[in-house]
Amino acid sequence: MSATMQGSAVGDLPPLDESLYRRRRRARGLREDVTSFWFLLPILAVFVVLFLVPLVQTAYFSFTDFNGYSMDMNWVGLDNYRKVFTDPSTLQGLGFTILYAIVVMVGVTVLAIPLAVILNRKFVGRDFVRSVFFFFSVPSLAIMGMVWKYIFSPMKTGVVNSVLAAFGLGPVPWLSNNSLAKFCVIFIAIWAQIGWHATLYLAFLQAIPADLYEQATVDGANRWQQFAHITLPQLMPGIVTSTFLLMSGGLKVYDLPFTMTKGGPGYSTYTVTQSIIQQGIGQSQYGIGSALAVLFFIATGIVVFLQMGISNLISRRFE
Amino acid sequence: MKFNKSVKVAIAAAAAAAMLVPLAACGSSNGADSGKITLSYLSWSNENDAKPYIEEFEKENPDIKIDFSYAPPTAEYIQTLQTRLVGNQAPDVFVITSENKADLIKNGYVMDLTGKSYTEKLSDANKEFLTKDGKLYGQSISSWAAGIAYNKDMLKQVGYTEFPKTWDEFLKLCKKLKDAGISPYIESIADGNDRIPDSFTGSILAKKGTDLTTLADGNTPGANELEGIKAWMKVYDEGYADRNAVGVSGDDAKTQFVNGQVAMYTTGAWDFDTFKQAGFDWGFAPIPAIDSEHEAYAQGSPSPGLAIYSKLTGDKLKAAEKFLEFQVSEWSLKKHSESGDAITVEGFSSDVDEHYKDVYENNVKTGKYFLITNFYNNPDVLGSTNTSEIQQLVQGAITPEQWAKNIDEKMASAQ
Repeated sequence: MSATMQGSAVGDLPPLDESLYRRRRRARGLREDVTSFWFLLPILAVFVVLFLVPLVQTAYFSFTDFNGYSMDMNWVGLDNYRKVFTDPSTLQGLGFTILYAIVVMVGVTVLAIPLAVILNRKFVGRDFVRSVFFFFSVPSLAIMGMVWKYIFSPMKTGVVNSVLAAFGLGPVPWLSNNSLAKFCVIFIAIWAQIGWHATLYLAFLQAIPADLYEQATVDGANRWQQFAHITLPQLMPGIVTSTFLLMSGGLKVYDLPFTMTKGGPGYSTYTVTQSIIQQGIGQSQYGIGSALAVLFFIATGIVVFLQMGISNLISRRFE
Repeated sequence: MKFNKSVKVAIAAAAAAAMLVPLAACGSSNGADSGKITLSYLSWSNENDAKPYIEEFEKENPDIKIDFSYAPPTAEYIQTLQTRLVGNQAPDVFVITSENKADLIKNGYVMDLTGKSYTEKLSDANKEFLTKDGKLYGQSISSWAAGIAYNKDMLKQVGYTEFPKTWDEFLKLCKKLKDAGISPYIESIADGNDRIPDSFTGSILAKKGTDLTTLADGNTPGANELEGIKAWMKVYDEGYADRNAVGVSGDDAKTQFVNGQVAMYTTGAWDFDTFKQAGFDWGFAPIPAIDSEHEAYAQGSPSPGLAIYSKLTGDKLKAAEKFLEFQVSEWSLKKHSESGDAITVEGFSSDVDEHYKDVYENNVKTGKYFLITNFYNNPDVLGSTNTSEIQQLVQGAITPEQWAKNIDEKMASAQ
């Protein structure tokens, strides 16, 4: 509302009525705030009980030697944090987790956008093809991991190695070689998530006004120019959403590497979440597990905020 | 749609109440039959498996009712028990095993069962497994031991009708198989099933006369197992086993063996049904001794035992002791034996599978078996670290000495 309009509206009222009007408006705003508070109370209670309290407890446990069996715990200061930073397995897990999150985010984004563009065109059997790609993302990654473990078996009898043998090629040590095991896990993660993210992009693509393309065609823009100057900028909100989901999901990955390789060979596909679960719960080292969780919470927050900041910068560039 | 303030508050209150009602429903009900003593029992066998024993016990003891609960092994069970103990909801009787025994004993949750009538006939190895500072804290009535399954036809092809007794003889057999174009041997290293080093270490420690219950004092499993590791690694260094085993799961390895793609596979009685269904001629032999100067040991362990909550008194304690007494009754042992358990209680012999008899008689009943995670502090840390380090060892990325150093450093940091 412009200042002029406000001035004219308020100016029509007598001075006494104006202050009464403002008091009433303030009182109504307060009543609405109180009512909103009551509506928010249940979810606020759930947030405090299930998120905030455990978070504070975790931070507290990270400075103790709590072992899960006795509440008589000792304050150990930063000892758990020191152990985390000097444990080679945890550091390797951190390395693979970051690699996984970045490569999967880039891989899925780079492949899902062209796929969405193709699925947005008219062709025979389009709905069926859309369903097929979306179907890959329906089973959980844990189930995917179990199935692909057999497909990528390093033995001669593995599914992929059998196919290679049919072409006269020798077996490839898929899950028994550190680099190949990393590749396999990341490959499956990208393959399994492309369909879902392509569907997300498809929704954004369908919201782009058709007249933009018609005008571009009249102006003589080719397909690549239309993609670079219309499709991609219009997709930026979708890219921000998709990459945010991929990055946050990638950083807390557990199910796929665990079911496929259990973090091996050695620690090559070990993840931070596996380390937290293994050390914190499996090995009753709740202090170390909590320290890891606190550090990971902070690191994830920083990475996600950085990623959102970069995405917003790029978004503004295209505005 | 507009609501007045009281309607809005009522809706908010109803929403809050709706979220609380399911939580309230989680509260436990105490519906014990009147006049009966209720004994809570947390098991890691599911209800179907535990039901026959509970029904028979309740039939024999009509004044006791078992309140059964279950959590699957191992991590989920341990966490469930931990939560109940810390939350003052301790079960009266529960499972004690290698992964939780040190914590349960250290924190005083389990009762000393030394000298009780229901532990008298347990084998020494089973007692040793759950003993700390001379006190027995659990009742373990059966054990398992691994061996080597072999394809009889393949061994016959290279002139073997009897399985080798020592590791050198075993390696000679491997060489003959390899020369004949047969893949000699497979292990599922992806699942951490390197079974041979434990068997060698068991025999080495036995020859030295080491008291296994003192191993946790030094807590250096790497140094203690190094000799066994070095001997075992010959099978990879000499090319008789595929180093790709680091990516091979137990199911994968079993499939290879059953399909005739490899002559020998280290496993246990749990795979016998699959072998029988496959319909080929197979045998199962004890793991060979490290050399002729040592006895043949197996990788194996006593089964988890039952423990009594240390704070039980009065009628509940009497009921709990009756339950453990029942476990070693003829009826119970026979039932366990029929379910496939290899019983190690004195005066009782399990009717085990024909293929398993040799291992049962020579390893299980005599207590000649060893499992690395059974006698050190922080067995969970040891188990998971060993799996990862063994994989690197088999890959050739580290030496046996580095393996031992990495294991012991990890154990020291977990203390």
